Amino acid sequence: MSDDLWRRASVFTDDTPVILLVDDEATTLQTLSLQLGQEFRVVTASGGPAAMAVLDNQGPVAAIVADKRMPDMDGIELLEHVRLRYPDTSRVLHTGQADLAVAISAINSGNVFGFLTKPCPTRELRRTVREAVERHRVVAAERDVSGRTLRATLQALFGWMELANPLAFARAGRIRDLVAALGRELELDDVWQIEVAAMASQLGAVTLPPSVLDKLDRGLPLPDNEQQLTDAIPSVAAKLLRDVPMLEDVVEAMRTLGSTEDRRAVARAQPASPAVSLTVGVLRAAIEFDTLVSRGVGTDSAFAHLVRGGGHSGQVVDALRRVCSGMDVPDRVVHAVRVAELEVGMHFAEDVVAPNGLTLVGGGVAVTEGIMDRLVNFKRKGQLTEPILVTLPAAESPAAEAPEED
Amino acid sequence: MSDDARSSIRTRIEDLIDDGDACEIALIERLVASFLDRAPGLIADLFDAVAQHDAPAARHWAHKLKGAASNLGVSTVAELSFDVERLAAEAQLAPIAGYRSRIEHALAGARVDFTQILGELARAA
Repeated sequence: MSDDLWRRASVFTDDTPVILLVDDEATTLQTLSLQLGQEFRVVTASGGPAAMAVLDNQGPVAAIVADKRMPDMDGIELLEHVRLRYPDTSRVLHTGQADLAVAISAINSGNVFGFLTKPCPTRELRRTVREAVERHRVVAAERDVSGRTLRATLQALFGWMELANPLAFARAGRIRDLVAALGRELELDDVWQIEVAAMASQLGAVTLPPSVLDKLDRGLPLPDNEQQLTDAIPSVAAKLLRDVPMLEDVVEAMRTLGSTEDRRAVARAQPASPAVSLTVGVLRAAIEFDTLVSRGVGTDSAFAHLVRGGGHSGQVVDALRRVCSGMDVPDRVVHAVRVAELEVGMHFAEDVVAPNGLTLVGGGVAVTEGIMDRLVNFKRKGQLTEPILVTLPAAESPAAEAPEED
Repeated sequence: MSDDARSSIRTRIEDLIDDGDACEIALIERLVASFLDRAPGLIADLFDAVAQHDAPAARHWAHKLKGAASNLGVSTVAELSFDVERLAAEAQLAPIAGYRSRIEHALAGARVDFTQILGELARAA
């Protein structure tokens, strides 16, 4: 029987909270839908596995009300799965009198927000679900603020490191741009986490000697001892970031990418979550692709190498191919500009090197306000030779002009 | 059926009503019809499990019947189903057989009560 039968003629907006009702008894599900359908968008599932499928397919909901006793997966087990995978969703246990002790225990252990006894009076049911939805709203809002704060802080940190060690972070910036495009192409959630993982994956590059960094940046083969140093880069990031809240998946990805010891430890602990596996897969493909292209390998040959070498998801490699073909469309044109003419959105066409040999900015890096400030300061001190070669998409390029002489 | 049984159903149905308009009464009628359609099948599944000496299955079906009945305030069926569920949990299947006619009788009484209560509500809408 369609749930629409029990839905009143309510006017819902995009902000109307979605709730998931789970019970293996059809008439109970229909009654709950009738009681709650006027105030909430109601989605129903007839059991635990079906409920998880609904969440995986349709995305998280504000609150879930689950029957305690169901075959295949009982309510406590279902709500535990939901807690792990969708921690912001408020969880309510719907139970008979006989299971009250279990319900109270679940609340005390923090596994559920509340419980309802069967048959639940409408007023109590609506009040509890309203409170559960409100709790979800507060948690989601707090998480949003925390997330934005964290992202802005990390952006500042990575921006500063790009300035402090351009050689180490030129590559990180390229990989970040690549995985960001890949994340969008694959329509992944939380692309920002993958971008952070890309930058974090190169945090440890500051520990490498400049000669190794240079080879790494140019994609050159490394002798075994240098390759070991390079392989350990993500593990350095994992140690640095391990206590940062909300970066648990990024740290796990770093450990999975990192040294053999870390990988073994992660594998022993538990299989990687789908989100971490995906992040690692995207990062590995992007890093290997960047290495090949930096070495001068053509993109077609690089894709062929990725496929031939195995170990990469076909879905990721296909997305990478689409991203790169898309990137080729707006041809970039090289311009010679003065420091004062730099603009955000340009990319450096080559390393910007001071007369004393110090690399100020890596080739391929996007122009940022921080980088512009750095170059202005070096220019004032007479430690920068103009013009600087940058690239712009052909469509945005002004007619080529020769830079004015000093 | 007893006044208590009818009162239990009436209390639950009234609890489910917001506006009491004809549309809402029609929705509740469909809810009741859904229960009355499904209940005989649940009873049959329960006693099939008892006949096959399958105590866990009997407990499962008794639990489902109890939940479906209490959901609409059919306390007579819910209480009998609760007894059966408890007996099945203890693997005491022999005494359960005698419950069939009592549960069916209670369900028949609930059907009459529903008809009367919903009729009154429809006339008032």
